[in-house]
Amino acid sequence: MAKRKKRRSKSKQTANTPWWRRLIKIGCYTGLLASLGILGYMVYLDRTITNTFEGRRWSIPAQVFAQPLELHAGARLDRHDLQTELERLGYVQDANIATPGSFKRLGNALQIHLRAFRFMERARDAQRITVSFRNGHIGAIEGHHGDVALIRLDPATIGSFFPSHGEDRIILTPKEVPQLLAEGLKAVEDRNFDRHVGFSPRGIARAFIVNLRAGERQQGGSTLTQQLVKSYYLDNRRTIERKLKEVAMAVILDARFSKEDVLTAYINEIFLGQNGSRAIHGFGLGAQFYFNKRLIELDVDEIATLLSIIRGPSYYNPFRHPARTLERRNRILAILHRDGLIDQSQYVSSRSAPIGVVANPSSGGAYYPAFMDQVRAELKGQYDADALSSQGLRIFTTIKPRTQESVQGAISLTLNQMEKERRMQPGILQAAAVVADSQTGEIHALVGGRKGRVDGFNRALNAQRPVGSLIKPVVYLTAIESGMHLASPVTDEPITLRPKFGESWSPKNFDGEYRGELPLIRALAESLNLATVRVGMEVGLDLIQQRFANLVGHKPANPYPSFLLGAESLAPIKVLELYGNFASGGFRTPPKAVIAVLDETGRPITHHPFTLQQTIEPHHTATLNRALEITMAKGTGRSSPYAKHGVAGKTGTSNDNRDSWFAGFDNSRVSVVWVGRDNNEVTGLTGASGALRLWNAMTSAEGVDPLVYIGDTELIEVEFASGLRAQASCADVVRVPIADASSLRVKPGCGLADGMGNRIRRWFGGRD
Amino acid sequence: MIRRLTPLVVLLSACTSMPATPPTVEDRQPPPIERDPVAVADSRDEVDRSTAATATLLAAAHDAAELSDHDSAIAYLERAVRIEPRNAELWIALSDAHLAAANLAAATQHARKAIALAGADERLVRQAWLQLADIREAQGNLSEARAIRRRYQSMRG
Repeated sequence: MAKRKKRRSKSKQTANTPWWRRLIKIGCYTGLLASLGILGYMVYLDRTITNTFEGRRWSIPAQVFAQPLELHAGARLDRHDLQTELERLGYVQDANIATPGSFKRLGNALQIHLRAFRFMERARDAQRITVSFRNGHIGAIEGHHGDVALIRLDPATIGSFFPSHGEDRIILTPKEVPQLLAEGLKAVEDRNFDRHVGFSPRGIARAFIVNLRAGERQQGGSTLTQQLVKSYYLDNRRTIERKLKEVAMAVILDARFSKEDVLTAYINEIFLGQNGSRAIHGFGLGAQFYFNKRLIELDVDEIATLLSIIRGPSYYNPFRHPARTLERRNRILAILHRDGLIDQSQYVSSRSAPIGVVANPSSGGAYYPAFMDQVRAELKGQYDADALSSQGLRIFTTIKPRTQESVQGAISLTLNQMEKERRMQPGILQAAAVVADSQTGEIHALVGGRKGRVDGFNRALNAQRPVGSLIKPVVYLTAIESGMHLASPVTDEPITLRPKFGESWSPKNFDGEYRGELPLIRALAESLNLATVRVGMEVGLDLIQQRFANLVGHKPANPYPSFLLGAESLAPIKVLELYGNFASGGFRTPPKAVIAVLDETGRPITHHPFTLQQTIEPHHTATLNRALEITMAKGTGRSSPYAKHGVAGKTGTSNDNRDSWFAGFDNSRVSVVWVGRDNNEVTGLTGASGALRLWNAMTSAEGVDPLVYIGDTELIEVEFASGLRAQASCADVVRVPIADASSLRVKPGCGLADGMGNRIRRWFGGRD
Repeated sequence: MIRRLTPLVVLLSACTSMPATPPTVEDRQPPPIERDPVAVADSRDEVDRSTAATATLLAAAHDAAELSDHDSAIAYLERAVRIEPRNAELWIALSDAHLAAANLAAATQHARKAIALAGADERLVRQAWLQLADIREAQGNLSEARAIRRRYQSMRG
């Protein structure tokens, strides 16, 4: 009862408090809460924007460099080649070669002002050299202090490891930013930049008036700081809340960081265009993308063009809308002139300059996504995605842009031709190719599909396809190692294998025929299935599979005899590894793309030296390679215009012509080509009519470096068709290394009646 | 490393017209079939001159090795091999750099590569095998090292 009384008196008291006092009290509490809320929100905004700014400011994606071109007397390079290389790197012709990155022609010589570059082993200063040429080679190189024995061009930057949302950038320090760009940005985008607090009501008012007068949106009211904030969060929704947040963050940024820091961050961050899935952020990358130049090397008109693009990278896309962009560029030049940032003569000459963006946007900062996949694969495990996209690593790789471009070009062109000739639906065929140095395994070119610059399914690394007859050299190598030689008789007759479990298997030759007894060399050269299965079963399937495992580093997936005919799926890069064993003279040299990784300061973090493992005795490799050269000259490779130029190779076709393969090598390069369809349907192409043709086209660009055989094995002349010993002057003769030729039967009528004379001639160095 | 590179560098830089170190034209064997005539520059002259280019890298590798900077020595020599991939002498130097860096497996394989490339050039064959003997010794395989040296030290280089 007492309790109830007390409660009543309390409610009476409340009822007595005037209403306005209650209102004030509520107001106070609400105000306090709101202030706390706003304060908390500001702290949150401060944290967010400061972290982003700090994080992004020094978040430098790893840069990836191609192999630099080595210049030395005797290098196979003519003036035209070198000039093309220089232009690829963005060097410009300039009669005074005043600045690094320029060159000029001087008769049959080139004077080059080389750029400074921090190479793997040491930094090289910018310097002038004169390169003269003789007979398609470099004759001499002269530098400031006389003859130069060896010097290299700066390497092409072929990409960077940007974060998964597809942004790429080249981070510049304030010193690396041209004055005109910094001042021009303020003049065009934010005249009050140096005075405002991150946000400018005056700017908004001015923009409003200008836009009202013009009847369209000509000026934005956002400060550079606001634009930077907007760019960080990639949000284009125009809501009041977003705008307020943007203003708040801009004010915080302005309070926390210097104007120079904010401007530099803007220059490194702002969105300037799109190249496929790769967003072009920052002026450093923009200069490379649009002009194939470094920012510091840009001319006045080029800086003005970049300034035009900021306002609307797709509306003012200089590739798609050159006239519109040119008009805006000239308006910007007028502003720069009016503000005294450029003088009258600069204004006049830059106004008359064409828009000048590089014809092929993708050549600006060459971009090879398929090769980059291989780089990524090699670095996986050592560097996580975060390290690659933020720590400014410098990655030196093996790619040769010249080879990459010519291989990619040859593939696209030849596939188009093939589809036309065969009346196939355009774009139905796909292809992959890998080219590597035959001695070191370093990859010079890697093509993952017919469109080289598009990220997508990388067939060179990931398309596992049956290799068909490409496997046969492993069978014959094992046979040679087991004591057979290239003239050993083998039998090409029907065979049926009946395993303990499963169905019996009766392979057939490509043409359904069989040829009886013939020499081993012919069975390989003509890619005869029946003879190969017989040889394989005689030598031992297990032994052959073991050899395969030694050569590529993993066991075959198919344990059955059909393995002998290539019912084994491999990716092109793995086939390259297999053939690398032969091309290198008997060493397993896994294909590699990365040479070294350096940190931001140029200190090496990891070296990736050559790896090699001897897998085949040199004389057995030499025998096999001769057999593969004969395969080109007289066997399944004979349709190639290079068949008799000293190359070794093998074609391969999988069942029903689904996969068309070629693997081959000369003295310096080993290549693998695959042609097929993504849905694995029939193409109608054999190894010779498909992949070999692509290889021919690839080879026509760089030519052949004929195979050289090392060692002193005696060569014996035998008739290709029969394997009988014959005179060199007889028809259809090949020379093969055979240790004991006495067991060979002699071809009647073309025998060795003058065998002694023949031998004497050989002693005196006569070849025939 | 230093021991082996010094005479090499002196030799290479002093006289670029010395007998070419890679398999020379004379060592080359006839091809297995009649090849079509192709416009191939006579490489003899070119080989000598690119040897002049790689000599500068051998010298740089030598300097790096003197400072026990084996990674740099290897980097210089690999650069040289990229220019002349079939020059056995460079592979021997590379093997030696790996030996100095205690990468014995790599040293062995590089020496084997040199042996394979040396072909019929007696001086190179000897040099490559003696390199392998040094590696065997470092591996503690003294008997094999001795056997190789017995066989190749008497050979005239």
